[in-house]
Amino acid sequence: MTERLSTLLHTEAERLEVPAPPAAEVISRGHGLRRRRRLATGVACVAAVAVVTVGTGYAVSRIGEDGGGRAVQPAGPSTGHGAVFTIGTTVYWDGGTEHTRIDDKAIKSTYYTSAGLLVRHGNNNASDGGGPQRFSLVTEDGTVHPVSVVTEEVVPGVDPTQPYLAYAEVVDGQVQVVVHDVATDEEVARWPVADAESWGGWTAPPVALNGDTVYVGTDDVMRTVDWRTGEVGTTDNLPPGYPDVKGGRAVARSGGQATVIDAASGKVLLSVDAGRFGYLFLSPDGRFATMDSADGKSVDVYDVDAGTHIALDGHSYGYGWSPDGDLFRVQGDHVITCSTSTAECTTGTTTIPQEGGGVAPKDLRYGNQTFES
Amino acid sequence: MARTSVTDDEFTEFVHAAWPSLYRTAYLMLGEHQLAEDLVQTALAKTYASWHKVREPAAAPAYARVVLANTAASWFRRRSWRNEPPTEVLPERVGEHDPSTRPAVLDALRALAPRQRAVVVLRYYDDLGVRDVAQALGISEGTVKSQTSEALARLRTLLGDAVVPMTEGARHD
Repeated sequence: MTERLSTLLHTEAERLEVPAPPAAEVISRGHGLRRRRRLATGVACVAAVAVVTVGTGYAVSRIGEDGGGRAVQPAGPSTGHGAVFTIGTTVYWDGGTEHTRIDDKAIKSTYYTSAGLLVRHGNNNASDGGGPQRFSLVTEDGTVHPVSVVTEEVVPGVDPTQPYLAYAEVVDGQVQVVVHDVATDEEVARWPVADAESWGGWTAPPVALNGDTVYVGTDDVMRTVDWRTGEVGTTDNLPPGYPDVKGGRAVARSGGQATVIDAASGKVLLSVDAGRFGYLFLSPDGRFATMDSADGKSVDVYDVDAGTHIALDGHSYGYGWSPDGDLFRVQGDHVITCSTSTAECTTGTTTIPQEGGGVAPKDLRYGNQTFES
Repeated sequence: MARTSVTDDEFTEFVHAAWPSLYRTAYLMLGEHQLAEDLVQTALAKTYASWHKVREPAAAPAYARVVLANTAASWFRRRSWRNEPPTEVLPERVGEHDPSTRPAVLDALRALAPRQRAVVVLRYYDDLGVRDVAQALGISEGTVKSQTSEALARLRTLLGDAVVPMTEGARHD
């Protein structure tokens, strides 16, 4: 029995000198987190399940149950996976110390969500033109949960602070935006997007998800859908076409400058001399942006808020971002982690098990990094 | 009916009420004052930012405790924590001094790996069940049980059977 241990723990705890609570500092940090998360507003004063119907669309909200039964609560921007990558059909997380296998022919890409790592897989590792795109959720204990969504040639969107997968599909000639809760494996919203008539070469417009907003990349203008209410709008803050919004931020080009902008306000947060071809790539949480050098031999990593940067060898796609915002790459059978403040890189001691698997067993892909779509 | 937001005054009041208990849990988990303070601050800031998930004010302390454990768990997964060795100089065995003295108990906790320490604190200080500990730390119930078993076995060698008796219940609960 452990009553004695319990008693001793309580006795020692009571003897501790407890410092004064820094309430103001806590609230200040809380304000900062709230701004970063841009989470749902105006949905809590509802009973257990609320169904909102507008036109031919709907949204279902489960209050206080973000993440649902199989999600690790509480949800947050970090799934705790540490460095996440895939080789073949094997998913590695926690810096390569943990791994599990996806039961399919190949992994196409992975996405960070608050419910775990969402894996997109199918008959081959192509993002475009590769046939059905199936999804599975890998939770922190390594369990693989099939997700009932199957897409084909679309660009989905996730927000790492939420358990949702957003995508668009065309139903009877009409573009619809769909939001699927991957934790509960339930569709929670489906809204029509009127006047969405042309877009890039996918079967439906590419989308990005940030908080309550689904950005829909159409050719004439960037459309927005509030997936909680179904309200459709447009924004001039982002250029039309491909929506690349991460952590509420997006990248753009203006003249010879590459910029990171706040998607909601259009405010320029970072401006970098980009020459003719330079382009910024955002980290999953939008806190960092990378730009490759013209000769392709180094990559600058910018802290968007601080405006500072470091330089690393290689190129942007040679590095992955962990859900916690740490840079890493895989070399041989080791994970190398690089500091975004000092550029110091450290080779991990863990030897990555060589599992591979599938039709492309040596295909290395970093977490939350997508290629063509 | 839940509220979507909390005023700063209300949350300040909540911080003052919840802080001592959360701090004690954090200190037992981490064994270091500055880290404990940072952990509680972080957990409360996250609670503030996620207030819409708190079903009712009465549930807020429990929610904050889960956030704290979840945050600690994410810290433990970082390289620096994973590489943290348990205390190498172990306290002497029971019988050579009073096991209820503070150094014996706290030093014994430090001899555990970080996650085992968290499991022990949540189970035997915060009195959470296996399922709740698993949810709070984001690990499986089986892992909670195995970590508990290993931790208790180690504590038994350090603190003696009087504090951690060898029983089937202790081994498997």
